[in-house]
Amino acid sequence: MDSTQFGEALSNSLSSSSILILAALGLAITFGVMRVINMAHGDMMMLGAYTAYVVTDRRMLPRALNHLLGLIGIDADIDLNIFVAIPASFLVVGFVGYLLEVCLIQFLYDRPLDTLLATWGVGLIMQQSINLTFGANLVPMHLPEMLQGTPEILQGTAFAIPSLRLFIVGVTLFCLFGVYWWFFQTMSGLKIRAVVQNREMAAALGVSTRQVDSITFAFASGLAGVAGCILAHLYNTKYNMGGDYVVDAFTVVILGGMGQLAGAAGGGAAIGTGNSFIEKLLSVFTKMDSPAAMAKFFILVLVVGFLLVRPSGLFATKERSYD
Amino acid sequence: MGFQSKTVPETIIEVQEVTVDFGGFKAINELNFSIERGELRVVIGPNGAGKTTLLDVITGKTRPTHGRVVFQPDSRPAIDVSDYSAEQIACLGIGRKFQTPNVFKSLSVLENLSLSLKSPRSVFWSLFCRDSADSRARLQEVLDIIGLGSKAHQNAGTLAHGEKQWLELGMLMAQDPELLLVDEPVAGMTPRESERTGELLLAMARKHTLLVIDHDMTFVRQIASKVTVLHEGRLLSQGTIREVQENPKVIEVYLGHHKVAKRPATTPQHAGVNVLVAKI
Amino acid sequence: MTKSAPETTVPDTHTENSAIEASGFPTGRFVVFLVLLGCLYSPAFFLDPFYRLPQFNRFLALALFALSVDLIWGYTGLLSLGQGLYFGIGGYFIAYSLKLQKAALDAGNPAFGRYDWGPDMAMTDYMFQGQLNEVPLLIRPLINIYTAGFLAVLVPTLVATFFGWIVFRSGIKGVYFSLVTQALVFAVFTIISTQRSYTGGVDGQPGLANLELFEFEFKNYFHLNLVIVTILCFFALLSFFLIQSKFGKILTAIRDNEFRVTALGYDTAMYKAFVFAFAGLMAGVAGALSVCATKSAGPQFFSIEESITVVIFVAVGGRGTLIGPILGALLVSVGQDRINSEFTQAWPIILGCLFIAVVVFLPDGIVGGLTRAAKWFNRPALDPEPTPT
Repeated sequence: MDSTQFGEALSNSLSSSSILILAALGLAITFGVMRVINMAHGDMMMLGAYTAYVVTDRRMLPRALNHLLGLIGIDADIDLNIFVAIPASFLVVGFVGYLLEVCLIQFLYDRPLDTLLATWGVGLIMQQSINLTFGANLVPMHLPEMLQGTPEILQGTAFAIPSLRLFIVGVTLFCLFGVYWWFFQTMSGLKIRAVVQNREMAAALGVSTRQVDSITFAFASGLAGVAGCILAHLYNTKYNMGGDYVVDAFTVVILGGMGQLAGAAGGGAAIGTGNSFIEKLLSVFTKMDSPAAMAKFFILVLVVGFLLVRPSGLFATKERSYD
Repeated sequence: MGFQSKTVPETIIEVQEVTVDFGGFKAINELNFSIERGELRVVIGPNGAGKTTLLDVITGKTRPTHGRVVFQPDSRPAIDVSDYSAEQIACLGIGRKFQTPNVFKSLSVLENLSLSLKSPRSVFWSLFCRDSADSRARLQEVLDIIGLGSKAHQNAGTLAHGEKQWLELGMLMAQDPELLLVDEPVAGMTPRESERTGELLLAMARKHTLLVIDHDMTFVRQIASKVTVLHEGRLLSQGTIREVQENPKVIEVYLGHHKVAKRPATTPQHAGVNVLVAKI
Repeated sequence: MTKSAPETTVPDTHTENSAIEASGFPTGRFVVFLVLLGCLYSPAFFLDPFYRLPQFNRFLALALFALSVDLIWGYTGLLSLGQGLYFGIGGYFIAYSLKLQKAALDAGNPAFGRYDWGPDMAMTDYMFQGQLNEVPLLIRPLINIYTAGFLAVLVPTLVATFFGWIVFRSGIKGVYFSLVTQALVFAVFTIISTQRSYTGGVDGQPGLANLELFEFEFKNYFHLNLVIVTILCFFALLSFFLIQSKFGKILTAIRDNEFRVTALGYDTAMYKAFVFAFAGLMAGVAGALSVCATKSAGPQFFSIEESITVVIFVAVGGRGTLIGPILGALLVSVGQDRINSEFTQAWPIILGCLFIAVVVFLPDGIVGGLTRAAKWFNRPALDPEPTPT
């Protein structure tokens, strides 16, 4: 493996780790912290991708806006890009998550496995509705000028990492620190942690647990939306992409360790990096049909193996049983 | 009252220098403690004294950070329980009754007891066995002792709280362990139920060695001959109930800085601490 | 509250017998169960033998699959989201066999009989397209249907035993178990669907030969139906006895309160591994039967959707009952077929709504709901002559 190939693998690992971390960060909150098994999480990402499509595709929202402005006599040429799409995805998917929590999940908090089935059903409905409304496939969204190509400093070096991927790493870090700050540095974060640890006690202290639950769930769903929005700018996306990502995201969370935000980051980075490098190694040294699938297989088997040896994951805490 | 050991005094379990460290917090701290065969021992102590952790250690649910727990079954060599898994320890003859009722709610009372009967625990056996006449007689005996004969075919989930507790004591009887650990058997019971539970435990104590944890001093007085007081993971005092109640260290711990507390106007049944204070 | 003080009770032999013997075999329920199973033989006599009957055969295979999920989920409380792994393994063994037979028959080489294998045996279409030079060594013997059938039962059982033993030993349970099984089946799915020259890739193995056993070729779906129903009944009865045995009670006890079972001295990991292996066996057989019935196999066997759909069969029919999963599998499959032929696009949405509706409104499924209704009607009347209001 020469340095160019290493650079490519590194570049891939940065973006795939970021996607995994973003996907898993939302789950680390809903699954790891709130103990809700949201099988529609992958479909939330899909919604994020389609939101990106609606916002940035010239035939969709920009055209509608231009048309509206035209009606009031302004001849505008609005072109929305990823910088608008990311917050838009966050808000749209967050709102969907809020509705899901209020309409369904709140009734199932004490039945984790049933939540799993119900949210899987929600995912099916989302997929087919989107498929029927917007079509089955999306090509990658167009990018603003500044995210195309490779930064000049890196051009010609072994680490010719495209600007978009650097931007994605930036978004991921922003989200990670944002969540960290929210959870550990603010009053509302404290409330969330209180509710998670002892619902009755928190309620007795005057925390509105219902509100905390739905806001937290909405926020976590919004993060899935951001992940989906970014995916839509990187790859082809399709209406049933959720199934693939939800398994990956759950794998990251249990690899990282339940209830550990750092676990999502560590697990995501481990799986993303491992995947990219194994794939590169396989494609360089073997003549396999599909090194990507093989790499994924190896990683999943490795993770399952690791969990069998250490079921509590990478970042686990020991808890004292209650007297 | 109470029942002293009928056989030659012989240690059945010995906790030697055991420390359990939960990430810096020592739930049990260099505890030494032992029980003799045939004894009915009551362990009391304020919240966080390490009572439940002590049971966890003996049953193998929690591993001690330091020290060891030596179990000396009848007619077998002594063993260190930390070398065994929780289910192996159960097979060696240590039974446990949890604080909350822990019965199988979708099985009938009879099935609950039948699963507990002393018998082989292998998968193969469970596939092909039939209950023998002996075991049926034993089940009936237990049903009668716990007084649930008329509800034998009812699902355990439909029983009242007190009945579930008795069913669980019955399951322990059926299991016929050499050492029986009982965690707060009368929590949440009416005085009547609690008295009957005491009778049950005394009946069980004729055949088994019992270690009972409780707060309720009325109940403790009903059943106990010897009391051990734990505090902050250490053994504070040990002796008859009178000796313990008169021990200045115990008074100190239970009273803390409220040394001048007078007898309260009403004595709550279940607030063991208050009752203890009142008695002192 | 209490009937007698413990010391004073003298066991009365009469009540002793009545209390304990009544706990024996539930004859009434067994008879009902037998009758219901017997009914499964009837559709073969009136269904359209070319279109409906093969479909019904597939649904029966799915019913067996659902039964396997019910044993581990409904009775033991272990929700496996990767049961498709065992179904798929069983199915693919048979598929290889029938595919190679088909290739051999099509090649028409007189030197080779239907079950003969060697380096120059006929390759399947996907192997040609994948530019293999010859049939891979390990796949060759599978042309013999008996070898393939044996492996279709043995391998899923062994994989399930091995996986279950390790998973349960390491104390993985609850949601973790679901997710680990899911990750595993997803890993296998990525391989099966991409290694085209060895597995047929995303297209799987369509266009298989007819099953031939003991010189008898199942050209007719009627005969195949008899075999499938009989096997389903066999496993249903086996499960019935399993559930009635002490083993079955221990499974239920594990579902209710696993830690307490451990405290009684049972090695729960062994029990769980055993029932998981048995369920793996059943799923393998179900996969094999499904392939015989549809004459095709595909990577969707290993997909997460397939495994979860089977879980919903069980949930709809009634988890923790034996007739429930069979009923659920048949009803949902028939519903899917009917709706698909009317409104092609609507099925996923309806299935999604079904998931939600069952979980929210009917958590114990159709059979559970009926049982509750029956209990409600048979409840002891408080008032001998109820006054209409």
